[in-house]
Amino acid sequence: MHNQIHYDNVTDAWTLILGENLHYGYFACGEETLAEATDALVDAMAALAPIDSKTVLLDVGCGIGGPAFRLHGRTGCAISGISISGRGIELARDTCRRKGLSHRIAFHRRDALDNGFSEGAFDVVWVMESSHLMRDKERLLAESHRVLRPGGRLLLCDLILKREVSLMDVYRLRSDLAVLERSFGEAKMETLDFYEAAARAAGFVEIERRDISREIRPTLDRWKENVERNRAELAAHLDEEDIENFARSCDILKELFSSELLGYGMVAGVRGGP
Amino acid sequence: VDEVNEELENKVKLDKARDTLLYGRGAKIDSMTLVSLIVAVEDALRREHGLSVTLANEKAMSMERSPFKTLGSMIDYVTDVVREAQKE
Repeated sequence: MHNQIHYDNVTDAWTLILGENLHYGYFACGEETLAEATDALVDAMAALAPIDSKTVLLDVGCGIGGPAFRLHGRTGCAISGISISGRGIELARDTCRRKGLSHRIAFHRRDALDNGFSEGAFDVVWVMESSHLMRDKERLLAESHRVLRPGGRLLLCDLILKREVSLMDVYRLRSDLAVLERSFGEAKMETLDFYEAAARAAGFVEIERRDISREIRPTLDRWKENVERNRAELAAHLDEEDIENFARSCDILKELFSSELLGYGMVAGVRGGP
Repeated sequence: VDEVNEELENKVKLDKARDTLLYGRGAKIDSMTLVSLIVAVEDALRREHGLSVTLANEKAMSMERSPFKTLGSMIDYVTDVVREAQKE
């Protein structure tokens, strides 16, 4: 199933599992609530760039706007959020209107690979957990580079491969990968080495990278707890098989994190050149 | 190939030609799709010919020139594996 359709279908259900921020959490000590940890991930990535009330930021793959509202609340920056999910954009716009932030934050249904913004329009391009859904990451990075002003910052975090995956790995894991695809859509993960090289090739300099797999991993227990806690409400959005599939996906991801096949990374870079 | 193509978008559908790339640089499909093709062939051999063979074994996957590089090399490899299985 195409990811756009997938995300339109699951967005409402995911707010019951992942919370208002449709992304992983950063657990510095492991005792935080999921909401605290998802905010902490936004804060950890924001710490990699100077962001203040004069900053104009593009949020690529904005979900339902959770990170945008957090970022704006902490810094006052202006934000354009884009997503291919019409349902995500609809919910983000509703929240934006409710919060009275439409003068500083706007959400658009656009493609990250051809976003339609003018060259150099942004100080920061923010790519939080959306790059794994895009097969052509080189094009994502080139498009991000295009819309950044010289000296602007790319901030990206996502699931990563901790090592190259062989064809035999894929063959062995094919049943688990099918379960994950049903829950999360079509995904293609890459290593931090890949992201660093691709960012450099796109014209980014001063690249920083962090492996934060350990801090991210408790998210999966929280998601699974939320599946159990909200099972009755989830039934209004997903069929029983999809709910079970999501719970199983949490276990599979934990196994893949434990076996050091999957992890989570953060990459930051500065747009070089004129 | 037909079975796998049913799941693919038009732009990445596999041509039924020996030189169609399946694996590595230039291939239109990802490794998950290639694995689906391998499993579809294993299933077809079991279902239609009563042959229980595993095409994706460590030996095949670690070959310097992967037998899954093109549709042609895969056909040759499957033919060899089937011939060996029929001897047993």
